[in-house]
Amino acid sequence: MVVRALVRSSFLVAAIGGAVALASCALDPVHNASVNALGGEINGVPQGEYHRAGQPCTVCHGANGPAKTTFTMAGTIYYGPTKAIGVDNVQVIMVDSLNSSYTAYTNCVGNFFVAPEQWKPSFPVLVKIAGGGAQAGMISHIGREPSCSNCHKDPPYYDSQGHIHLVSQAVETQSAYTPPACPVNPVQTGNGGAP
Amino acid sequence: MSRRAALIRSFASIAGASVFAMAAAATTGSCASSPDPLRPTLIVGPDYKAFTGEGQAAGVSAFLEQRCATLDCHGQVGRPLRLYSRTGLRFPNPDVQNTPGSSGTTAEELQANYQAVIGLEPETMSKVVLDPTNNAPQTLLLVKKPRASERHKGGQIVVIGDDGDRCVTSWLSGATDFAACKTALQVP
Repeated sequence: MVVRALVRSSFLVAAIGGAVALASCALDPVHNASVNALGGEINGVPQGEYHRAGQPCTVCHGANGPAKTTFTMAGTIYYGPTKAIGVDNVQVIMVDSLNSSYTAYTNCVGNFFVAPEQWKPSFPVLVKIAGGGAQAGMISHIGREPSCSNCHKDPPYYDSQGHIHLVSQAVETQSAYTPPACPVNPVQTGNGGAP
Repeated sequence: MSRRAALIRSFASIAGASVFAMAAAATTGSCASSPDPLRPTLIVGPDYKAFTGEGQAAGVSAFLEQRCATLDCHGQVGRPLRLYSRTGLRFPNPDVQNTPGSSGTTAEELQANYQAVIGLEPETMSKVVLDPTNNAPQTLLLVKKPRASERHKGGQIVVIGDDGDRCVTSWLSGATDFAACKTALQVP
């Protein structure tokens, strides 16, 4: 009798705890608004490593969810400044304040992401990118933002330089980038948004 | 009751009543008084030229711009200490239309940075500037936050006595250490 009561009460406590935990995630209106502002998935682009190129990854892939996986750094690298064409196999070389470094590689839509078990940077972080004989470095450091596109958003404005690009406009004009075969079209028609 | 005792008692009652009346008046007065909307607030700020670095290799703003003003920290319009910079947030001037990285920090951006720094704690800032001996710079959030002696979302930015710390505190004390400001810029 006593054992049964104890088991019942522990189930109750666990259920209440779970409900509170779920509610606390869902009740942050600022985070919810950020997630909702990203919109739904694009037709033909399933959830996975190729989806939502150009969006701030850690809005969902952060501590508050709702994605199951979390990233410590993530973003999308494009070929040039005028067209949002994701560029494949670019090294994203990051060094943190403790001199710990990690190099991530972009996939064929330009996305890269770092899981906590791969690297947990101690901010601030310095970044440069390199690929195909070209390289570019970020002049300032990253203070604490794990998603590139929270700052690097299109179009360029007072608070954004625009999307991250590997080559200059002159190079982009002279030598167009031919994307490799990719399950998802790496050419985006929006401003850093959906294909 | 003797006449003397009656006099003392009546004096005591009058004194007690007076004290009560004065206390009541003071209380009522303090509650009823409304602030004078025309009363100016005197704000004394540190040297503006030293802040901008005019005539120097680097001023205080240059250090703040590099270490604090990234777009993900104080280079955001929502921050109380909003800082503009060449590589971060640009002042929204439609005639210039600057974007991050497009040109050097403008005069209006330097002025806005100065106002943001002064406006963070204007009264305390004034006391520090007027009498730094009795009002140490480290009483200001501007010094406490980067030292992380006050909770700072961006963590510890300077160590007490390092170049960045000296750049800011020396400026607040009225004798800007420009060499420290310049050296502090060498840290990326």
